[in-house]
Amino acid sequence: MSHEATVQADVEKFQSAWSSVRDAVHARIVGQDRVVDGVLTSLLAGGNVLLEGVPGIGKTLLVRTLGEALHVEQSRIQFTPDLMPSDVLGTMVIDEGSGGARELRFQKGPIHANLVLADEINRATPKTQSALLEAMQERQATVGGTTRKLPEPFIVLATQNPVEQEGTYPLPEAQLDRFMFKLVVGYPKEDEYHSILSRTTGRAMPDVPTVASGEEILALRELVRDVPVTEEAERLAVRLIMATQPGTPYASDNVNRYVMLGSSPRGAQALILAAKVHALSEGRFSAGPDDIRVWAVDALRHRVLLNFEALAEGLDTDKLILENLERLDVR
Amino acid sequence: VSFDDPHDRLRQLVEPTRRGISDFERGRARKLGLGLLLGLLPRMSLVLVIGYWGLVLISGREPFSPFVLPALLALALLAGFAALWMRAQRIEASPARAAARVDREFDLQGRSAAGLEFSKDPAEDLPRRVRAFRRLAVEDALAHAGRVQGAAAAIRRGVPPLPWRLALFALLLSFVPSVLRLDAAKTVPHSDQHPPKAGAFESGASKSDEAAKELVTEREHETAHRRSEAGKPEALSEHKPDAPNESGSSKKARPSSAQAPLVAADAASSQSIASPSESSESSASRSSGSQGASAGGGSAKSGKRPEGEAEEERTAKKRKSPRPRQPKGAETKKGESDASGAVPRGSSTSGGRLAAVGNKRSGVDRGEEREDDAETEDEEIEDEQEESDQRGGVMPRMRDRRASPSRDLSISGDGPPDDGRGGPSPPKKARGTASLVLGVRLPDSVRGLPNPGTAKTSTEPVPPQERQAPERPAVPVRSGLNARAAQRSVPPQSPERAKRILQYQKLRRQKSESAAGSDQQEQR
Repeated sequence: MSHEATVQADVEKFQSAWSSVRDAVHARIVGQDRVVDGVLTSLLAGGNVLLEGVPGIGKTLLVRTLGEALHVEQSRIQFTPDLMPSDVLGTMVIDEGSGGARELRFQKGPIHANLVLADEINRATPKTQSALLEAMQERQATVGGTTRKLPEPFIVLATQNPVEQEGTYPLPEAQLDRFMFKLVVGYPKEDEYHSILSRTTGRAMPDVPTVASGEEILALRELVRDVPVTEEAERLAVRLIMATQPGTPYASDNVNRYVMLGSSPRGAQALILAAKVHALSEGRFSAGPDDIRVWAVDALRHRVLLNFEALAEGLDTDKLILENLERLDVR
Repeated sequence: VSFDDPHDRLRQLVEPTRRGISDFERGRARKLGLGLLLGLLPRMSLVLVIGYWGLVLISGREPFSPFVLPALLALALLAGFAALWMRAQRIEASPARAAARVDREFDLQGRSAAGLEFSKDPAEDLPRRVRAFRRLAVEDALAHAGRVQGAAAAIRRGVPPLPWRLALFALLLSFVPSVLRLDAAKTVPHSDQHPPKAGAFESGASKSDEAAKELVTEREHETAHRRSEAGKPEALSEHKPDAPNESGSSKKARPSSAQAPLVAADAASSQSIASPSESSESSASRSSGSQGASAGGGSAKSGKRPEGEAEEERTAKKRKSPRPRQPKGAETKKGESDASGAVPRGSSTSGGRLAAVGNKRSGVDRGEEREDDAETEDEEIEDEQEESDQRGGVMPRMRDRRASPSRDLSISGDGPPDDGRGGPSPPKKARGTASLVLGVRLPDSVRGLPNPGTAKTSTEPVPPQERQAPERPAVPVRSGLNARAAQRSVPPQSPERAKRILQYQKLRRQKSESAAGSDQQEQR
């Protein structure tokens, strides 16, 4: 079999896996198509996701459903102000053997799972939040001087609540940058409410079929890395990132005036990887500028820090990024 | 898949669109350039007019006819447009851009652009799987080429309208010197005694002292020459009230001759607005003032009053009303009227000169102050940008960076005031009492308890002082029913309770005395 035929078969397999996981999640989650697609894109691109939304719109349920559909080990950490890093990473405990001999043994924390749900992550102290930094970027955890690899595929799905900010700790920039997407989960539409009520007020919740395994997800991730990207798409990604940085040639007047800190190169990586996944999900063999545009807002909105003047004038990052997208459209 | 054929085929596919984009971009560049030129025309016109007047001021005569200015303006416009046209002809759209346009127009989702790019370069150094992806992308683009079928994608992009009004304004502006010249030619009659230098453009001559001195010297020479011809001594002519004062009139002519061209334009315009009688008067006085010797004669004819009376009247007016601050045009008129020959030599010379010079200097000073302020404000930003460049690249704007939030979780949080949005803990409110502060001893009392609290207490020793109170009238004694009602009903107290209270008070007094004594000992 030639390479072309192999690649073509892999792309078809990717499309099949994409649609089956999507359908499995939608067996329990009603609507929220963009959020589900974003979580799947991040899963296949190897990134982490920050879900932001008001309580009661299914953020936690989405993550649990995804865990069931993928048949991977999942864990949930409910972040509270008194949570300690050892509660997340694990700790050394004294274990007494059968002969009475005592030895130190590592007790794994909930981070040692494939799919980690960090619920209400902004309620924990920065000390505990920072315990996730190494895990999210290097896919490893260091406890007691020993570094342990985390199981693959590894993805952190964190949720946070935009209201009830009393007693919370906003995520530091270094940690925000480690999330590939920040997805805003909105309220359902009117017709979706009927489906939600019919599914959730009966005797049992709908069953979620297991449609993929961890190994399959890893294979799909490798396929994503092979997808070529056109020069125009790369140029657009770079200019989009530079357009968020004040003082650069592509920064608009609004960016120069209102932005305190622009996106890092991680933003460009996220844009390219998301574009590759989007191209594959549509059965194409290369990623173009249109694929970059699809996830630009979700990949950049948490990487741009506005200054006080912008906050006072009610400006948000989504508007700035959309303005940049429109401005950099040279076609 | 051969890479030569697919690339040519894809290029042919996007060629009509590429040509369309190129034509459109050329036309757009021409129109934008023309718009830019038309927008620049007012400035160019202004520069031409100012330059022309500057030449007139410097040389003292017209370098060329003012009607040349509009012609120059039109020539500059034509030259600029020709340059833009030639530059626009070189614009050629790239095939990649055309492919992107085709993808968008025919909903190909980037297939033709990717196919065109990947078919151009086989990229043998890439891994096999990536190369396979690229070949598949080219095949995919060719497979979807049927949708295009040689059609060109439409180009929808607006071009801003041309600023015709600005161009018209610029054209009118370029005619201003010609109009002013015509107006001056109407109002100022030329005489044989004065060369063109001191004629219509004399009012716009330089204000410098040297030029004025030259003018004075020249006219004095002329006057002396005429008087010597008439055989009259100069001293006698000065004592004559009706005789024209040559040097005075020449000095008085200085303010009017020292006005800037714009001022002359203002004067001319105000003159045209004024009533016919006023305009005739002012023109007569201006002609007399500007024409030196003939001015004296003119004023002598029109004034018909002795010189001493006129001077007294003017002095009285000056005393009555202090000279108000007037705009430049008004001062110009006044200077011109003062320059008439009816005014004696010493009276109006200083006034005219001071007004013109003083106003100019004050205006310049104000302008300089504003420029200084703007420069001071911009200095910091420029310094920061320079530093950023010297560091080797553009850095995040740390000027706007706030201090990192405090992560201190202790009881005395020193973060910003609580705004309900989370983050560092706000300053805690003190829950202790004032008596907890070391070194400050305050009496502590607990409401509802007769005994002092557990906190340390101290009383400040304040010796009693005698004080005079105001006298008050005695209260009348109540009697009868009122007196009985006013009595307080006090329950009878048992002797044991009274005894205990006395003991308690005695004990407490002893304690306080002993505490005070120990305090005094400590203080000693």
